[in-house]
Order: sequence, then C-alpha cells, then structure tokens
Amino acid sequence: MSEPLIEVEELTKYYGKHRGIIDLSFSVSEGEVFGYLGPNGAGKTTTIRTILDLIRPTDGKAWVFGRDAHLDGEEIRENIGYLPGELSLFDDMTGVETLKYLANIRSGVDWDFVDELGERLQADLDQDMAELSSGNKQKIGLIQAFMNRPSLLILDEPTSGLDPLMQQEFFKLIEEARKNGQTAFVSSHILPVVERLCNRVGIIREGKLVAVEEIDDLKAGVLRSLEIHFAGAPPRERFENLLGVEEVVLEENRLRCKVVGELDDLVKEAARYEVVNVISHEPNLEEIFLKYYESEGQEAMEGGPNNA
Amino acid sequence: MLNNIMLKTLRDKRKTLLWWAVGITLLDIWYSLMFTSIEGDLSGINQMMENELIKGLLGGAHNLATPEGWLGAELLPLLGPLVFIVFAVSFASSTFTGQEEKGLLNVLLANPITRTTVFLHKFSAMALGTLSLGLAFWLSNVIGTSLANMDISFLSLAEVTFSLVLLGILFGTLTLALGGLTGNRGVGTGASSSIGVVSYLLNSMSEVISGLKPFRPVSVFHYYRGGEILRNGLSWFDILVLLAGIVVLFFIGLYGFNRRDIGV
Repeated sequence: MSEPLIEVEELTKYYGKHRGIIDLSFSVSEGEVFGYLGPNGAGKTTTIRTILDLIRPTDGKAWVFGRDAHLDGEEIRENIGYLPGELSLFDDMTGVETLKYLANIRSGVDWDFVDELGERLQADLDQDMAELSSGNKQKIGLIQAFMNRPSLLILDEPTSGLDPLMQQEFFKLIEEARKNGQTAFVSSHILPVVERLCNRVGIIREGKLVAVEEIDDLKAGVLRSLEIHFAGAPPRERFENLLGVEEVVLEENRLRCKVVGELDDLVKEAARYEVVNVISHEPNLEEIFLKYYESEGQEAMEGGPNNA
Repeated sequence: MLNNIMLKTLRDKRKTLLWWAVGITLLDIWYSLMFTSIEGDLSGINQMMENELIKGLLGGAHNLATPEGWLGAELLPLLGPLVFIVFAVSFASSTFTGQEEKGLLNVLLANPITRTTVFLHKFSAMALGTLSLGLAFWLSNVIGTSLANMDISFLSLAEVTFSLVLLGILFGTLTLALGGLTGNRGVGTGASSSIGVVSYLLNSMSEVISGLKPFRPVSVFHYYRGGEILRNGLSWFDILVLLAGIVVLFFIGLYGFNRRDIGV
C-alpha cells in the first residue's frame, strides 16, 4: 500500500448545534475507488466539502496528497476534479462557455478529451444552463470534473439525474480513470452504484462512520430481497433450510425471501421447478446499517435505527 | 470575458451596467436641459431654498441661476449619490453573496484558487463597474452642460464624478465586507443601505440642527462634498478618508471571507 491520498483524522463538523459529521477517521489509498455510502443527510457532502476546504472543521484534520487540506488548499485543488452534490452552474452560460471559464481557472485541460467526454456522455454543450434538465447539467458537471485528468476525483452523488445508459458510460469513465492510476472518492446513497464501482467502501450514518469494508465483504453481508414466480407452487420447506436464505414466504406461486451472500443454493433449488420470473429488490441501506449496528452491540442501538 | 473571475463578473453584469449607464445619461442630459428652461424664472425655487430644511437636504444654499448652483442643488447632493450607492451595493451583493447563495462559489472555490483571489476579483469587478458608470456620468454631464450652454469646466465635472465613484465604491466595499463576514446577502444589502440613508440624513440635517454638528464627521457624506467641489475643487483630505475607508473595509471583508464556511 502506498501513502494515503486522503487522510481524515477525527474530523468533526457542527453547524451551530446541528450535527454535520462526528469524529471521522479514514484514509483512501492511491489508485483505489473509494465508495462513501450513506443515506441523504448522513454527512457525506459535509465530509467532502471539508476535504476541499470549502468549510472548516469544528475539530480534527484532513490531509490530501499528504498536505494540509486547509493550509495547502490551493495546491491540492490543482489535482482534484470535483463534482458537487447539488450542482449549480451559471444559468446564462452554455456548456462550452462554462467549461472554458473553469479551464481558464485551472490548468492542464485537454480539449480533445473534453470533446470525447461530451460525445460519450451525449452532453449538449451549446445550450444555456438554464434550459438544461438536471441530468444534462450533471453531464457538464461530470465533464468539468474529469477534464484535466486530475489525480483525485471527488464525486458527490455522480449518478444523480443520469439515465441508465449514461450511468453505464460513467462507470466506464471511472474504470478508465482507475486504469490511468487516478484515484476516486465517490459518494452515493445507492448501494448498487457503490458495489459496481468501488474497491472499498466507507459507510456513514448520522454523521458517524459505521464501517470501512472491502466491497466483497460488504456484498457478502448484504441482505437481498428476492421474489421468484413459479409456474406452480413449489414446496416451501425445500427453501427454508437453504444457506443464507431467510424469511421465506410462499403466496400461491410466488416465493418471497431474503438472502445473505451468495445466491447459488437458492438459484439451484429454484431451478428444479419451472421459474416464470425473478424480481430482485434493491437492498435497503437501513438493513445494512442495522446489521452493522447489531454487530456493534448495545451502545450502537442508542441511535435507534428506524427501519420501518 | 471568461479569462478570469473579474472579467466574468463584469460579463455577468454587462446588461445591468448598460441600462444603468443609459439611465444616468438620460437623467444627466435632462437635468442640464432643465437649466435652460427655467433659467429665467428661478425666483420660486430660490424662495423655496430659503427654507432651512429643504436647503439642507438639497446640499446647502446656492444661487440656482449659476451652473454650479444648479448642478449642486439636487443632482450632485442627492440623485448622484443615490444612483452610485444603489448601483455599487446591488452589484456587490448580486455578484458575491448572491452567487454564493445560488451555490456558484462552491463550484468556483473547488478550483485551485484562494479565497483572497476570489474576493479581490469580486472587489475589482465592482470597482471597475462603478468606474464605468462614473465615465457615463461624466460624459453625459459634459454633453448635457454643453447643450445647455452652461459655463462649467469639464475638469470640475471629472473631479466631482471621481468623488461620486469613490463614494459608490466605498458602499460597494461595505456590502462585500458584510458579505465576507456573514455570507448573508440580506445583511449586506440591508445594512449598507441603512448606513447610507442614516449617513445622508446625519450630514444634511446637521446643516439645520446644530446639535448634530459634532457628529457630522462620522457621516460618509461629510467627505463627499457634491456641488462644493465644483466651486472649490477636490479636497484631498476627503479623498484620502474615502480611500482609507475602502481599504479598511476591503481587509475586514477579506478576513471574514477567509475564515468562514462557504454556502451551498
């Protein structure tokens, strides 16, 4: 492992009496894609904005490229591409004008690459920002984050507003950036996005870092809701004792259950009968958090996860 | 216009600046032409000026039949400062905290620039914008007084314009300073406007109410002499006070801006 690219130590931020983040410590290594997962309002944006020196921590410190995030902010940001969570761009400027303006403030923008990004993301660069949908604005935001091939990408909810096709293109961009040796810090409240992109993931809830895990370990622990429709009702008891399968409910021809880890046993058992349809529900973040809370024991339950 | 933050800021306000310049040009020319139409019959107005209160509010007693007296009766003591202060305050608040409240400074400051750079550029844009308005003010007065055959030197007009520009920039910087300290657009505009009004009233009322006289130097308007500049020329002490005020407010704002959180 090389030197950490981002290092955060006991970082705390209160807005007056309101909680921002509490006592966060973690680090991101060079070349990794680090996922930052948590529900809205958990403190993801606060963490990012502190790292960028846009806001000042109440306590604790952050380092980027081994340098003090506050004192050396200007030099640090030379090598950061940032996509804000709530992207605001100048209403009366087109995409090209916006990118030109930002390129004049930064250095090292490769215009061939900008054109390539524009094409791949199908961005409309000639319309005024005021006339663009949020998804199309998001594309301009992504281009400006990537356009000078920064060594660190900090992307706050990058997939918001993107349609599935563009999400795939975005995943490819991150993959290419990783191959280029770039590092990415990606925040999201959507588990599949983080699963798809990241090597490691930090999980934040109510301002506190609940866990930092390798993505494979996280996946192994994720509880998935599955619904399998059969041509005829299968015997329920055949599914009840399968490894990792819980909460089995059979309603006529429909089997609903929750699965932790690999789906192999369940799929093989289901294949014995005629399967009409399989529906996989997105894992609920709260359920993941609950799992970590349970493992943390009594003290952690005080926060009272409201998993309705 | 996209080369740096200052030019970009001026670009954002180009339409506003243009319309203000058009407005002030029309006002100035119209005001000078009024001089020709009522030149013969000023007795009524001169009589009105014998009222101490009106005299105070309109910049002191002068013979309105002279170009200096005419310009110094309403345009220079009242309309000019009003235009320049409102322009500079609204310019400063919309380009600084106004943009911050829209989340635009968040994008800007994530770039490799310091807050000091941003603040300096915002200040320069406001100062240059006000100076451009000053140029329009001077030119239109040159044209207006020429059309009205008023015998007044262009240099005197330039001097009084310079003083007005500084007054405007001072209030613009006050707005930037309050924005730098608080990040709140309303505080910046509200407090600057109130200070402007109180300052104006304090200065003009002290002509009439002798008890206010000792407090007159507190008023910014005390250092902007309006029509008096046309008669006696610029006072360098006044200019220095205005400049010092600008510098002090600039650094107060910069200090605040460097310390606080940037709004989303």
